[in-house]
This record gives sequence, structure tokens and C-alpha cells, in this order.
Amino acid sequence: MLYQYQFACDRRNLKSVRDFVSDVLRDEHFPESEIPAVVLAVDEICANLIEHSHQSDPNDVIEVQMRVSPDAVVCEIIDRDGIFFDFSAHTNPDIRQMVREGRNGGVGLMLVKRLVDKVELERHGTQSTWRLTKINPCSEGGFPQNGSSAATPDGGFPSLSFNEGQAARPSV
Amino acid sequence: MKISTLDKDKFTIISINGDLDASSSIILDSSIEKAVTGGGKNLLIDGTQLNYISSAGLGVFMSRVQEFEERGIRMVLYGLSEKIFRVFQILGLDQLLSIVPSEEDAMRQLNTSP
Repeated sequence: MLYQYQFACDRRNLKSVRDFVSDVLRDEHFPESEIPAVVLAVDEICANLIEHSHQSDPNDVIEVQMRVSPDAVVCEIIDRDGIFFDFSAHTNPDIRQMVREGRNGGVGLMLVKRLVDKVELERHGTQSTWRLTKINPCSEGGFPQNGSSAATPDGGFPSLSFNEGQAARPSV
Repeated sequence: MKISTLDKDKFTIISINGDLDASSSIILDSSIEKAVTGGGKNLLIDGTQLNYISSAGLGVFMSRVQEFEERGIRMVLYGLSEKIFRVFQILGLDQLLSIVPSEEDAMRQLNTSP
């Protein structure tokens, strides 16, 4: 089943986004232990888009779509007319260096990469779609095959993906 | 999210209740700024009622570490749930910030550290 939620680009709406994500995962009986990681990952992407892609303009709208299968949950955060982010240029910052410099931001994407199993960003014309995949650790299947994840749509760019692997990190 | 600040002996206890996200983190930052501007040198961050934290919330603490070290201000976080603590762990911030289980541990740490 496809679940959809739209919200205006205002940071105060992040709580309702988190509630939407957690409600869907609970309704779909996704393992309770994995829900905080998915909620946080979606929140981080939405917060970034609100601030950097839309400058917190409440007239702009972002959509979250979720599909839950027995193997995984796939969350898409769709930004239809924002500023495209070059995900291919992103590298994880040095946390110790950031602390030394007194920086208060810039770790959100690194967090997302460590929270979910796969992060992809696709561009179709003016639309950017972030796709976050979290595997259900209770499933016996392998990594889910999402039909559009590897596609290169006409006029768009190949999807950029990242998977840090989860062997060495705790789930949230 | 609600923030309350309490002066107790030589400590300033800042208690966070609710969700610390990109919307609310500025309120915590203001509370911390107010506490240190008022002369607070021993900050205890009470996270027992902290329900959620995102990178914006982590950033409030990250951004203060170096500044506080230079100004002789000490900050200890306590009472974090396992769920919240793991967010700090994922980025390695548990190694860069002072995080202890309870208020007593936090006070003990500030009383014994130089």
C-alpha cells in the first residue's frame, strides 16, 4: 500500500511528518526497534529541504510517500520545485574537526546514511526525489528490488545512492 | 518542547521536555546562552524527558564544546534514554561530550573534575 503525506515548508511541521512515518510503520507492523531510525532519517531529509531547498517558505510543499513490504520500507521525499542538491559531492564530515570549529550543523546527511540501508537521490526535471530504504531485519529475503531505483529517467540524472552498511552500527 | 532552568547550588540545570528538532533547537540554544551569560559555569543538561533528537539538537551541544572549554564552562548531559543516547553514539558524539546516567553522576563529575 502507498501512503502519502504533504506538508508546507515550515520547520514546525516536522513533528507531524514524524508522526506520519511512525504511524505508518506501526500500522504495517514494522519492527518497533527500527522505527526511530526511519523516523529520524526522514526528518533529517525534510528539515534539509525546508531550510536549504525552500528557505522555509510555507507556500512550498514537500511530499512524503511510503511503501512497506515484508522485506523493507521505502520512503520517498519528493521535492517538486526546489534547489537540486549534488549528493555525489557529499562526503562525511570529520566530527572532531566540526566540534573544534564550533559548528552546529552539517551532520544530518551523515546521520541519514548511517540510519538506513540505502540512500538515493533522483532528479526528474525540476523534481528531486530522495529515496531511503530500511530493510526489515526480521524478514528472510534479501535486499528489495525497487523497480525505479536504478532507472535513469529521460531528462534526468542517474540515481545516486549510498550504503554505508550496518554491520558496525547500532540501530536507534 | 519545553525548557526549564533551575539554579541548584553551583549548578545550572537545564531540563528538556519533548522533541529537540530543527524547529525547537534554537530554544535550547537560547536557554544555554542565557545560563552562561548569567554566569553559569557548571551546566547540567537533564535529558530524562527528552523524547526525540535530530542533528539540529545534536548541533546545539556540538557547537558549544570548544567554546566552553576555552571559557572554563563545564557541561554534562544526563538521563538520556537508550534511544536518544544511540543517536549520539552513531556520530561518535558520546566520545566528545560528557554524558552520564544520572543527575547524581553529573554532579559528582563536576565536583571531582578540575
